Amino acid sequence: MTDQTNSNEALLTTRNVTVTYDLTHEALHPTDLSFKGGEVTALIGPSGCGKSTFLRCLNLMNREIPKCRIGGEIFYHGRNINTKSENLFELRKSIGMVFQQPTPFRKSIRENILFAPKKHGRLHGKDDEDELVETSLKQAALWDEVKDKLKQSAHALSGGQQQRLCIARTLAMKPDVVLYDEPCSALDPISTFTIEETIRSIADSGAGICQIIVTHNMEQAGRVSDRTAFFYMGDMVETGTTQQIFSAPKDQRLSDYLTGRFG
Amino acid sequence: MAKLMPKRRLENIGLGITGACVALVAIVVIALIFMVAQQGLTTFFVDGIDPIEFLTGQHWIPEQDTYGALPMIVGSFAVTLLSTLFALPIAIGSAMFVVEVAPGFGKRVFQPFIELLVGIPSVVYGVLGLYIINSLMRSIFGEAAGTGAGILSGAIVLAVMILPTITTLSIDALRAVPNQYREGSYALGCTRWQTIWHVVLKSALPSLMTAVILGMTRAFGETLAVQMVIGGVERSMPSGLLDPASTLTAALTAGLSNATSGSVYYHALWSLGLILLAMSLVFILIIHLIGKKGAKDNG
Repeated sequence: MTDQTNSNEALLTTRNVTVTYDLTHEALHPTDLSFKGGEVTALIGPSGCGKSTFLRCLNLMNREIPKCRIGGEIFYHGRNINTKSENLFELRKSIGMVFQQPTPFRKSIRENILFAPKKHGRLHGKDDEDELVETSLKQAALWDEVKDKLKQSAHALSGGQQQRLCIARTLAMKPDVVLYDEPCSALDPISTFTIEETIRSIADSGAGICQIIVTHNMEQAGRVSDRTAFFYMGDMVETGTTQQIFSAPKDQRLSDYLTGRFG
Repeated sequence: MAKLMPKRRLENIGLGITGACVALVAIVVIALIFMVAQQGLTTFFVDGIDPIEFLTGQHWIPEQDTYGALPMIVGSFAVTLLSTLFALPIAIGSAMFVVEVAPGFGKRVFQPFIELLVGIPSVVYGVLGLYIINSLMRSIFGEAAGTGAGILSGAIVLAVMILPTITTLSIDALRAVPNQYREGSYALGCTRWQTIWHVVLKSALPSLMTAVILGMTRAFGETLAVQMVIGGVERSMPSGLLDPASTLTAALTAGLSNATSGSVYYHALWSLGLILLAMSLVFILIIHLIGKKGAKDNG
């Protein structure tokens, strides 16, 4: 737990991480990256470049895909998690993930938030539950819109609200890493803006949560992230502060991508 | 060379043919309901049997002009509910295995295998039931089972018969749950079991209910196999699961050969048919209601 006091140390580091589908096709070539608490990192690149594949390594979600293998080492709080003995379920309690399509469960708004914490035996009594629902929804900037209809089905919410509910649900687990896999690509511009604000406010709240967002939208990467990594054809080509990546790209492929020559 | 037909005429012909198909189906259904209702209601309006007494009477003795259909109604419902109760856990369990645990095995081996069961004619189930289930009943329960024919035997045979229906539909129902729901649950650190139980089954609930009701409809309507193993006793109420009994369908088939057309007995058999028809309408209504509710819940 020393990592939390020392913010300079990376929370999550990958070393030579690769992903192989169908046992032969290497979709991600060896990738080294590190992520710090409190920072937002954007993973950008054209479709099929491996950015989502990389993201899904960080909570070992790729393990749920048959015939998909993750190679290399992933250090979380200094411990390699890419091992056979790693408890996936325990790990994912502290590394949350938000997907492209909002995926609220067929339950009420309140139960969507409480589902996982309840299953993990974290709640004691109704006051505890009420408090968690309120703080999580406030963190995800959804509280004001839904506070009077917590018992209603989550499916009655708009797409943007559903996505913020998914963020709230993830935050309710009190993770220190949150992964976003193109969280706005199914949403309209206004909802997109709200989600970006939410991500920014989580980063600035001082909770030290490490956020990593995959996006194909370069403006979005510019708006929300502190650091950016550019992927191309399964390679992590260039990484740096978002400002440097966008104003002074070093690699030709990155500058071509930024000027819209492909993608 | 044949002259090309003008487009407009071709359109009209297409419209005419498809419209005629729809009309034909509609006519058949309406004629069927009308006929069964006309014959079935004769019992009450012409032969003067009290419909309440018909539905609640506990004895069915045509020779004494006693027509109480309750033994068969109870028999039908008992075998239907029991067989569903037996088949459902096995069906859902294997559907979970096939969809969530071993999808490759499920698609290649299990599904063709279970679909094979659908194709077996019901008389084969009947014969197997007669020789295996009934003697099994005798060896387990001894004297109490009598010949071995009874409600329990009927329910077990029916359970095997409706198993493929419920299993196949449950597999479809679980498969239709978007993968994102599972990943959403995994992402919260939930285990496979928690995910299946609380997220997948819950999302698939309306389709699973439809699977159950369709299975029940099949059980309710099945005649031959049940008739062979249930004992065919409709004179009085069965007092236990091991008692020989009868179902609406079995009594109808057994009775038709003895009844002279136009007699009260003949009409009473039509009335049993009317009850069957009404029940299947109720089953279909339930399926539609579930479907509507499912569509609403999914937004």
